[in-house]
Amino acid sequence: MRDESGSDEAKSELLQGTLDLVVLRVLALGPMHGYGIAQRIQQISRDVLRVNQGSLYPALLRLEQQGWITSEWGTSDNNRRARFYSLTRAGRRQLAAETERWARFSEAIGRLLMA
Amino acid sequence: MRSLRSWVVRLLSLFRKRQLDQRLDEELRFHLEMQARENEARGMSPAAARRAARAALAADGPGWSVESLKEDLRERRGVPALETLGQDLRYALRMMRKSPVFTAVALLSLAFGVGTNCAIFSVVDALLLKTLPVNDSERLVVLKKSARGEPQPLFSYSAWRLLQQAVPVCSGVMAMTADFTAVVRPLAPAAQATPAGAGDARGSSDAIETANAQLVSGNFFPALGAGMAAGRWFTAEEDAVPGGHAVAVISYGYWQRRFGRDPGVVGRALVVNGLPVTVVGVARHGFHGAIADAAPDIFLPVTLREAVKFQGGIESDGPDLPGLSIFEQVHQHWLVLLARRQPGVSVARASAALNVLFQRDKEARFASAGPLGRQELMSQTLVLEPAARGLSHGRGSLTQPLLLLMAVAGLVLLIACGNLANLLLARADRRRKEMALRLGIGAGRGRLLRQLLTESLLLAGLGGALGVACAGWGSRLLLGLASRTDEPIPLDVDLDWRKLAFALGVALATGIGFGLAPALQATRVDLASSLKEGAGAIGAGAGAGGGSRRGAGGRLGRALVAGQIGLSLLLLIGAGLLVRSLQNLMGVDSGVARDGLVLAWVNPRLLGYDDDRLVALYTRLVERLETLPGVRSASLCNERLLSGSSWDENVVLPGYTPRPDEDTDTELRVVTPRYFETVGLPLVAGRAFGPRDRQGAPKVAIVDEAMARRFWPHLAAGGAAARVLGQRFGFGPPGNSRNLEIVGVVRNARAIRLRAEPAPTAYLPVAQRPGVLRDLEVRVAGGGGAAGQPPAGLVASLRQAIAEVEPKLPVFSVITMDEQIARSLARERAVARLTAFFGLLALSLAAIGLYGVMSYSVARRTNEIGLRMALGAPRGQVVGLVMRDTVLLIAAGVAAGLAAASATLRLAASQLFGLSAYDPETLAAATLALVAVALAAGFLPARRAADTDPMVALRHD
Repeated sequence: MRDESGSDEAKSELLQGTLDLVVLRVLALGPMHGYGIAQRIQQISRDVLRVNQGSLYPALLRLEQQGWITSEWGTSDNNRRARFYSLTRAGRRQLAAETERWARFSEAIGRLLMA
Repeated sequence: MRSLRSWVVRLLSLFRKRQLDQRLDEELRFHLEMQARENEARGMSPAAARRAARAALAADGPGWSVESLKEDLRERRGVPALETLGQDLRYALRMMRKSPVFTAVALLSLAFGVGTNCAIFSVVDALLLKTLPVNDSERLVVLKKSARGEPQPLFSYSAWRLLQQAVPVCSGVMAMTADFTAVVRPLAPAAQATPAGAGDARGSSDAIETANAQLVSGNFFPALGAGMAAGRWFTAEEDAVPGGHAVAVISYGYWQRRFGRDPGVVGRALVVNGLPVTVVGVARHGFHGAIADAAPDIFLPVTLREAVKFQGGIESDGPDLPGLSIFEQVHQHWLVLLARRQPGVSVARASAALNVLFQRDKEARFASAGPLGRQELMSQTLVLEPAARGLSHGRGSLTQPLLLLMAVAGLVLLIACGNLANLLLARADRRRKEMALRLGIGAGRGRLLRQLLTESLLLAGLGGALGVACAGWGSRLLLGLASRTDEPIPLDVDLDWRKLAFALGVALATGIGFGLAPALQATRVDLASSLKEGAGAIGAGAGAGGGSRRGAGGRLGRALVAGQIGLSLLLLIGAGLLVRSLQNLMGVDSGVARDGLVLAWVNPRLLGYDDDRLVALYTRLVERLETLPGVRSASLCNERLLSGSSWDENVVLPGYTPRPDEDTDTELRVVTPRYFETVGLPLVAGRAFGPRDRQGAPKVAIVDEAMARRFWPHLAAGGAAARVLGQRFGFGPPGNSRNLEIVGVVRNARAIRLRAEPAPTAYLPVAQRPGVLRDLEVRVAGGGGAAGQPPAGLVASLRQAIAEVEPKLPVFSVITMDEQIARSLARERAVARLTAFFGLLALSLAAIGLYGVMSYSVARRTNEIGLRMALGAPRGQVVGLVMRDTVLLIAAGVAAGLAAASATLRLAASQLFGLSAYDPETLAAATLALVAVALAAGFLPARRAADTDPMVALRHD
């Protein structure tokens, strides 16, 4: 009962807790619906990162409850009603803070692994 | 902040549930369609594309299905507990209706458990916890004088006047006395006349109307900051002049009871102990002064002390100063002082300021004090103790029994909870398939737990409500049982938020307590095996090595039952100890002959006679009573036997200086000549009092053996009491040491309370020490009447005879000595009866629990037992198989119970009399009784197991 939608090659699963950061980053490009967010993450990460769709919607709900993103109903490319998420100002601040934290963290891990 | 915001969002979402649900559906549908479309684009068939899209969306989500993802999102969105509460409650009610017997048993045991706990808590709360119903009660302090032992609470009137100047630290130093019973006659206008037919109270002997009165200072009410229901409080001016202002304030309760809340009562007159007083006001509802367990009906100014013939005691620490009234005597202490600290003034600061003023009182006493008194005065200071909960009569003696009862009731509730938990466990076991199914189709475990807990909490809530409804009745029963008079102890046990909160807490705790474990058990289901269950039952039994098939639920149930057995053994032992203590107390030889002794309270103080007239009255009374048919002798005494009250004075001996810390206080009983004969106290040596011991004759005394041994050990050694005859002693200052000559020695008596060893006692003839004697004793021929009641004819003729001698002398209750002993043991009896009741209840609850668990286990092992019997196992072996389990359970329970008993029972040692907390007989009897009952309870299921028909059993699913 595994994901059969994509190819069978190994993909890294998103680190616990980084999904929120990734979603915020993707939404920084502009408002987007849930399916689009999942697609976009895979595109940008060149299919290296796979989003568990089952955890995407809970993440969106969590971010919205935190006040970092907001949603409204709009029309999709194929003229369907869809729910579009966009960043709030608080969300932008959170993204900046998280990005910096992530950079420091990955740099530290990188140094450790290279040492 | 952030989490607060998210909760607000969640709460708001509750109100848009349907809309949000639709949107969630729409959003996920959109996602699935988009994904399916893409999958098709990659070459999948439309059906496969949709299936794959659904699988992808559910992947790694909770529950592996789109529906469970939705459920999860819905829960995260809102406040799940609130949202599902209604649903759970409806379901729980349906479950309750479906099993009415279970529901009834559960509700009744909970109602009983919560009810008893709440009833006892109400009394504990009213006596020990609740602050006085006055403003800022935490700023109240009670003033005491440091002394050798406990600080002394009584002050003289002049000391109070001095301390009142402490205005900068205290908004008022209030004075009050203990409450006392007063004879009341309404001086009423025609409209408020006494009930028709009652006539003059003097004529009909029974119709004495009494009320509870208390003397308080004028600043008492304003300083406590309470309001009035009608009229006004009496002012500080009205308590300034001794006897000056005959005014009174009545309590709301008395107003309601006696005057039907007639507003016209203000301005009307009442006669209190013969003194007409004007009612100036009615205190507001609920105000009962500063004593937690007293309910005064009438408040009077302290300056009316003499005028209303106050009956409270005086403590004296020096000589009477001639020519001065009680209000000017510096050595006569009779007022309890309370103060209210000003806001922001610490106890220490208030104490410092008050001690400066107290210094002046000490100086005033110093001048006239003897050398001993001076020594004590030097070190005396004023001590302030917090008095937010007010003062109390019974706090000292009731606290231990109450806490004991509280613990016992708590344990019974625990045992009842054990049964409920077992019932729920059994039910959970039956619902395994249901639970497995629900878990299988995606219900979260938390969700199921919540629903099961809702069921038990609903039960607990309903049971608790029933319990609260009965608690008030229970409290009043308890107050009646524990009272030493005909009236229940006046404590306010009406339902209030504190009791509601307590009951709610108990109900919640029990609901979770008995519901949680079964709920955890029920939802910890191994899906596959539960759904397949039934078919594999025999296999499972055989697979476990032929032993009993015990699920985790079975183990928990057994542990519960063992715990119940242990707790009920503990309670049985405790009850046994208390019952035997009571028997010991009832059997103890008080030293007086109880059969045929009748007692009556009289109050000659109200006559206002001088000493000579009082003594003459006593002589006439005794003479008249002794002419009554059936009366052998009669007498009067200043204290009643076994009333718990004592009168002691300091003994001085010629040529003996006591050590500084030596307590030479001795019980003092003032009696009429034939007292010893009347109460049946045998004379050991010398003579009894007689007519020759009159005023002016050489002063004589009779002592008991305890006193002889205490003060003349060299003479009285080896029982040679006769050798103290002729010795001299006295009471009070050293100059009195040769005042009295011992003319007789009597046996010891437990005269104050049965529990206490006889106190050294001296008896004086009233003719040589005149005063008010309030207890009348009559010895009648041929024992008392039935059931502790004095013979009816005797009561009437007693009252008649007394009225002939002195029509104005009020006669209160007439009782037998047996009744007096019973009253003096009221508290012990109440505690023994209640614990015995609780102990038996605990025993039957535990037996029911054991029976239930064994029955259930037998029912579950039907296949196994059937198989064994089919293979030829005899009945006896089957019974043995089940009984082995039972015996193991009982053994574990008994071991636990004995361990608990050895750890806890010594805490109750102060309640025991004549046996130790580890009394082997009681331990053995309780254990045997418990084991017998438990074995019987376990035998029934075992016999039923042996009756199993193998063919039926093997077909059993």
